[in-house]
Amino acid sequence: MIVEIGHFALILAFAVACLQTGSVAWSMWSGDDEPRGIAAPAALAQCALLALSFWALIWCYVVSDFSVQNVFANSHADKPLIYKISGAWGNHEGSMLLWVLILAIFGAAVAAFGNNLPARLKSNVLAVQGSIGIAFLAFIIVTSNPFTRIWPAPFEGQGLNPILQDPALAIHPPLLYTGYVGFSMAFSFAIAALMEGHIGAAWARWVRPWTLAAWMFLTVGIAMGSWWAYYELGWGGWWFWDPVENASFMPWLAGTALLHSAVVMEKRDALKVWTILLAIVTFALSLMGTFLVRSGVLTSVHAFAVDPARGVFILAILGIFTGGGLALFAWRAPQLRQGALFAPVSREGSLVFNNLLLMTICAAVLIGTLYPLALESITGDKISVGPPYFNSVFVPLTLILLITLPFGPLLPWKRGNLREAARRLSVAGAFAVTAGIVALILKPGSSMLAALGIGVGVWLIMGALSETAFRVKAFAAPWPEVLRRLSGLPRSSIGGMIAHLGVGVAVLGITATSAWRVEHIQAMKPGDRIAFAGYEVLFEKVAAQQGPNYQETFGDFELSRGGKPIVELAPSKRQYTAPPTGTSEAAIHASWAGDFYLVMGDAAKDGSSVAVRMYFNPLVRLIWIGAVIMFIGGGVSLSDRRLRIGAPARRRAPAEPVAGQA
Amino acid sequence: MLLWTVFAALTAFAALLIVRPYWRQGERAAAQSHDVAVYKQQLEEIEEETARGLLGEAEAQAARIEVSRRILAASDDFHAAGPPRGSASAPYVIIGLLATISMAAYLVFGSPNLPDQPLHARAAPEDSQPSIESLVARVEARLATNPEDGAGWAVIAPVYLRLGRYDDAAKALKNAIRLVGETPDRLGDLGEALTLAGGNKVSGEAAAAFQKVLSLEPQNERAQFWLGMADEQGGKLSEAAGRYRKLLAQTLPDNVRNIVQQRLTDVDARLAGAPSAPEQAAMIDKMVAGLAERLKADGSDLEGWLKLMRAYTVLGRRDEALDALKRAQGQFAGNQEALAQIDQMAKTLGLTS
Repeated sequence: MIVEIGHFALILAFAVACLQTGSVAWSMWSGDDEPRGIAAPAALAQCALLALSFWALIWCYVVSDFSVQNVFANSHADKPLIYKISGAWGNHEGSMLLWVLILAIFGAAVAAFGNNLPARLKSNVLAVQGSIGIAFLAFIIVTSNPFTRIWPAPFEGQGLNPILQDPALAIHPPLLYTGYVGFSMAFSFAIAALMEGHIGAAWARWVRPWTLAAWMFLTVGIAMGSWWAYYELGWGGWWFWDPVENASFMPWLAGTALLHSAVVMEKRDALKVWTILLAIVTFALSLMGTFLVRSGVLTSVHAFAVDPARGVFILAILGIFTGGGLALFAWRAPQLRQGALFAPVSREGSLVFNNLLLMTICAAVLIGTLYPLALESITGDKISVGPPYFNSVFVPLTLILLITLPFGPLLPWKRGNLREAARRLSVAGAFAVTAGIVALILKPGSSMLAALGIGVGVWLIMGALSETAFRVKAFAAPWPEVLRRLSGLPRSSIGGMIAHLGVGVAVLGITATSAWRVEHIQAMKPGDRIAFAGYEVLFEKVAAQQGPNYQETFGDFELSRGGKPIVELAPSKRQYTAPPTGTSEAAIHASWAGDFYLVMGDAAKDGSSVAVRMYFNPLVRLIWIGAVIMFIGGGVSLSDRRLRIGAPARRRAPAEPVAGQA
Repeated sequence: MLLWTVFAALTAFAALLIVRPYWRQGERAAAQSHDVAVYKQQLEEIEEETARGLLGEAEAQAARIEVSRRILAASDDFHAAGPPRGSASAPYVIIGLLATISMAAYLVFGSPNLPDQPLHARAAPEDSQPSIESLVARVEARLATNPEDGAGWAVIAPVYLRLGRYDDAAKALKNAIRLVGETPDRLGDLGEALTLAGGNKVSGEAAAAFQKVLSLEPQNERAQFWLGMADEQGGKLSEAAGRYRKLLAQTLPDNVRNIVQQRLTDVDARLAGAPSAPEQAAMIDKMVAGLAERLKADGSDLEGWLKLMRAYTVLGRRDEALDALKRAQGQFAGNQEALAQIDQMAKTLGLTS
């Protein structure tokens, strides 16, 4: 009965979403403001129903109810409990349900906490949220229903792809989806603003925090996905420019641009139209990301042939929300009041520059992701736009972006002085150049790009620190004065500094790993000993053991340095029975200097030796630490709850922008 | 019935939550005054933040002007809009829509007649006698914690084989052989499990197992038979015929003898290059029809039934074979030994699903 209750709750949520949007439409058509009053309670009801529905699905997974098609296809009675639960969203249907649930939670948050929103704006936003809900719920119910039954029920399920049976991947989709869906808030507010014809205070109060929260979750979501790929796929790499990765990276780039342009709009009432456009584009990319990851919209052209209903539905959703949003934008945007003027060299100017670069990078990634897929669908040719394309386009653009980044926070609003900003960055510049030279000396034969990368990483870190140092007059004023100023700094400013510092840390890790990573492959027999990257590796033995739902052959390796044993590493190959798949589990010894990464390959034909691959990835840990620092920076900034009216400051801003930073 | 009650309760919950604004007093004209309150609160916050030094005087002044402008705009709206024109029937329309949309969609997509089927409920024994599944589950649980228990694998393997879980049987037998040693029975079971798992195709691995059985026990009937099948599948017909002839020279249980004889006849026919000439087919049909006729008159001949099932299957008349199976089971109801033989034959012929 629980299965059917979950199914009914899902369908009822669809009916509620129809009312949520329909009531507001009715109000707009009839001019009577009463019907729109039900949008908020409808959003709450929708959230409660979808929570019930999702709980029912998880329950089916936990008790292994194989009369549910979705459970049969993606679960197995022998799976550990955590993967039974995460299996609920480890597949297309379940993940779509999770997606609408998060959407409904955001809608309910607006309904419950939106008391400081004008009533009409609030119901308009909820109507847009409701329309997204209608589209997705219809899609789920008609083409991707997780509650479809099979009768008679099979006695065993087909199992979850073993490479997905991993703690990082159990929480990766919820994080990523929170990011994607969070951008729907910016979208809904953008559409509501276009419907009303003016951008009110709500933008300042709501869009930036929601975008920031979405951005934070997307940041850790992507980092977690990359971390998973790093240790699970066993290739030693951490980013592959795979369409699935790009799908989450593009909304992140657009969301980063949105975040920064929202700052300009909030502070200076400028860039309104551009910000609205970014909100629409970011959400469109999030939608595309959602479908690319799970539904194979374009990764497999054949998916359309196999299930045309699903493909047409997806295209329709993408078309209606992207096309509809852009059409509304084209119609209404010219009526929006243009904002304040500013000089090219100013905080606003630097943020516009940042936006343009971010969107160019995003477009480059988009082309690189979609072009091969489009080509395949038209001509049938399979081409691969691999890392060479992305590196040749992405790296130079990103370098420009990163080199100019520290200037932004140091320029005052409205009109700035580049020379003054450069003077304040001279210390950071000196550190950066030194770091680049030191890199060249320590690692002779390194490319100039590697030295440049290290320099840029240090430049970003020191730039962020010097900005704060300048603001609090560190080294210039007495300490009590510095502390007083530090405590007076708005938290959004500190958060921005932390996030930029995080970018620097990640850049250091990325550069070091890409430039100085070493690898070695060798056939080893038990008892063999080799030296690699300053470590000695002793292959002791191979043994077998039984896991909960797999059999495992693992190697026993002793890692030592200078004759002192450090750690036992046990890379393994697992054979899962349901579905019958093998995975290889890398063994990683992580340290601040870098990760020692060991993978056991196939045994030789005669069984005497095993192919062993080893990598040393210097400073690789910094990549994920950088992402976590960015997340923390976002959190600090989010905690800043200063009033954001979005009113133009008509008089000239004070010369020293102590209270006027991003 | 309970299910529909729950559905009704859910619908009622959602409907009442949604229409509540219509039924609450004092909500109606509150929208505009709510907006004004929002803006007044913003004005207060501006003052507070200016006082704390978070907002510069210039920004604060600009913000005050902006907010005041919005207050004016909001009260203009209020006067322009006039009194609300809400109708008393609206809540009922909403409830009706909710119930209609959800019911209609559920009747299309839902399966109200299917109960839940959680696995633990299905595995539970129906009476006090523990079912074979639960016994198997118990042994499996023990083996999961102690995969080196060779005796456990040896015990469970034949059970798997009987339950038709051939892959599991093969795995269990390999473990048993590895841990407690090779016996002709285990090797033979292994070969058979591998063969049945592969849809009666004798793989190289299975053939190797059977060869090993023969090296331990040269007279082993099962190994000889399956190696004959392997030869037959590999197109080595004369080798197959040789093996079958040798096997027929041994003392065999009747049902086995029949099967081997049948294979030999087939192989000989194929060797002679006469797969199934029309006359031959007609003759066979006649013989089968005669047998069926005879069994209809006197159903006590077990061998006859088995032969009839086999004949129908070989002729590709599966429905009739199933019918014969059913009638034979009816005939020998109560005779456990006969039923076991019938089942064995049905399994060999692939008549049991």
